[in-house]
Amino acid sequence: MCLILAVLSLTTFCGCSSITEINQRSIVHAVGVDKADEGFEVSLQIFSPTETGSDTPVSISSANTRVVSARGKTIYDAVKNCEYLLGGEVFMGHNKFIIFGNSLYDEDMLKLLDWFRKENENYLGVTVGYAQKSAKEILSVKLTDGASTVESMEQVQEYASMYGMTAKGDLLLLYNSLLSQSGSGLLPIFSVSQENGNGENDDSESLQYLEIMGTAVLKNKKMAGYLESNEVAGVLWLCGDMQKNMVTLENGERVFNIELEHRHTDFHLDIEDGEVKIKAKIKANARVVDELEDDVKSQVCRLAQEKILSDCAIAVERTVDEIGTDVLGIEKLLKFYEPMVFRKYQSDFQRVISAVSFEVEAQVKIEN
Amino acid sequence: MKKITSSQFISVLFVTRAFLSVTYGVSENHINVVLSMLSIAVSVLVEGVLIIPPIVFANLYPDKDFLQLSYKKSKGLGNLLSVVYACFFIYEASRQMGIFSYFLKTEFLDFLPAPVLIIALGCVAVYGASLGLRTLSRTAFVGVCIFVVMFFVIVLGVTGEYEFYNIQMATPYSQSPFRAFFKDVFERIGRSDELVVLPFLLKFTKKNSTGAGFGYMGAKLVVMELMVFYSALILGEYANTLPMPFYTLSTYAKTSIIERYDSIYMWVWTISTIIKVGILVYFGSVCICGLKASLKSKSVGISGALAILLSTALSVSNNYDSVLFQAPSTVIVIALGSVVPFVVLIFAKRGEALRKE
Repeated sequence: MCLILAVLSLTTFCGCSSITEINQRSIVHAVGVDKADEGFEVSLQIFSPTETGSDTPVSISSANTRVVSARGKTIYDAVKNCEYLLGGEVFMGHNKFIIFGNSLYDEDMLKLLDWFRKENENYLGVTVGYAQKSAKEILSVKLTDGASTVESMEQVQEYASMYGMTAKGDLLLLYNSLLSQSGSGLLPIFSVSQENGNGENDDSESLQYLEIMGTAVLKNKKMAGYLESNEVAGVLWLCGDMQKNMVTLENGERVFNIELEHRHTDFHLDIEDGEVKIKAKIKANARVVDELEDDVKSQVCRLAQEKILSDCAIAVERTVDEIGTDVLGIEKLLKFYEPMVFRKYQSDFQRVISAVSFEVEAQVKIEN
Repeated sequence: MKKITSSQFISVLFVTRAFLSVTYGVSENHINVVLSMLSIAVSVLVEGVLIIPPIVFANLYPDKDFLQLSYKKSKGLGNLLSVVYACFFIYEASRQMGIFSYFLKTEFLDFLPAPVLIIALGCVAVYGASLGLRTLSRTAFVGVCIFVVMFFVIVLGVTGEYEFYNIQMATPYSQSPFRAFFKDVFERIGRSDELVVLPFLLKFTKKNSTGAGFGYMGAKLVVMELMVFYSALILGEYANTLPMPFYTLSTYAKTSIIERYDSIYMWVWTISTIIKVGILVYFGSVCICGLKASLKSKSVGISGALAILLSTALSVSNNYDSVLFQAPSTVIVIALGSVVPFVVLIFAKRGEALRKE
């Protein structure tokens, strides 16, 4: 009886619902969003195999992608219009990047991300970034080596965040940071660079590549300014998020190329005379290629410590004093160490940010 | 009567409650994560006290349950208790099927009608119940093993993203934190419908009821604390905005082989729901048998059919706020899980004392 029921269920129930086959889906690699006259223009970079005449439908010499754009009153609406153009459902499960164009710099990032957050298929670890010009331009760039822009962006972003040139831009990290009182955040800004092969203005010879031209700082969920690479490095040292940092140091006689590797940062928060004092003790290892004498080693350590401290100082000056945002995690530390103080000043957190002072200590050890 | 081992007993209760805890948020009553973890500890402690009467009962009458003793006292009382417990088990089975179909519809299969999901799940669960408690408990043990593996894979899959500063006491904040805290404790006990299953299950457990009961409480405490801790540690403030943070955590985890573990999560939850509904249908049938012994061969079918019908009827609206999805009242859980067995135990002991005199 059970066997009959099982066979009946397997043969009849599976036809009860509609399903979307893989060939009817468009696999999205990256999403670009720009502002349009009435709403948004969404560009989707999708997987699109290019016929090469061989056994495989995937060409090994081309990117196998194409970009589809459509407009709509909301991001969701524009995505649905893309689906209409593609003649099938889009699948966001493989999406790796969400890029917002320069026309959206003044828009509330939390609202822009709303659909991506609610869309179940979207991965929380997707990288979010700004485009220097339009997001569509970034997705449509033709790379000469046949790689897709997503692959290139991924490599550039991974390298830059690993070496402390920009922030990670992970959707979950960004979302948590936008939920803070100051609505802060750090996002990489992607741009397209062009280099002429023979030095002349000939399009056929020009090489295009993607790069990160800076890091955007968000305040009140909107872009509030840019950070230079040493300012970003300072922020990452102070947040404890630095992985590695390449620095060039000079002692007047010699130049040293050093790779600093972050070991650990100890934080401590004190409230003294109504002022929030954050003490950070940064510990790093330094790797030097050349053989160094002992007295030079100690000199290099001192120079590296000074470099870290100066990066931290300019990061505090730029983000806290000039922009007045909390990318350094002041709220996070205050919530942890002084929850009552946080609750007291929660509604006027800007006052807390302006009353914060940093005391940074750096300790660098040369690795042999 | 073939009995189950202590580990199977713990597995059945674990699947009946602890795993389904993943459907609840980190801070349901606007309490911060530290208070939330404290609330779990207090609620488990209270539950530990609440399971003492059934455990004492099981130690004194190892081969009887309190329904059988209540029939000895008075047939009317026995019938009344059988009806009440049967209603509870059938309602709980239908509620679990409703929650499961809601989860699948909202997160995975939005094109499938809820009744199809409920009927499919219900049929499997009723089949499991018809095979008996030993089969269900063995499956529950396998389910627990799979759950433990899944839990560690998910948690380890997000290595490097831990932020210990997320374990903070500042937000979310309730204007009356003590009230919010005790409300949370009270609600957590209300969600522990396994407290009602426990007195029935003890009768089928091989020796050491005390160890099995408190062993379960310990396992539950550890797992629930870890779930809340890791959800808050990795997801941070975002966890407070989510209805199912542990599920979101599974979508965030990845290893070099697999990205996103939501499909594995769904698989484990499906197994757990089937076992839970099977257990509830089984004990629903035990109560129906108490009412009318001649229905013994059909009681599982009746209990299961009633649960499927009720769930299907209530799920039409697919509204998460509807009565279908509401956890039973804490008072009902305490009354059915602890007070009734305690009262029956007192009457039984008094009866014995009078007979001796």
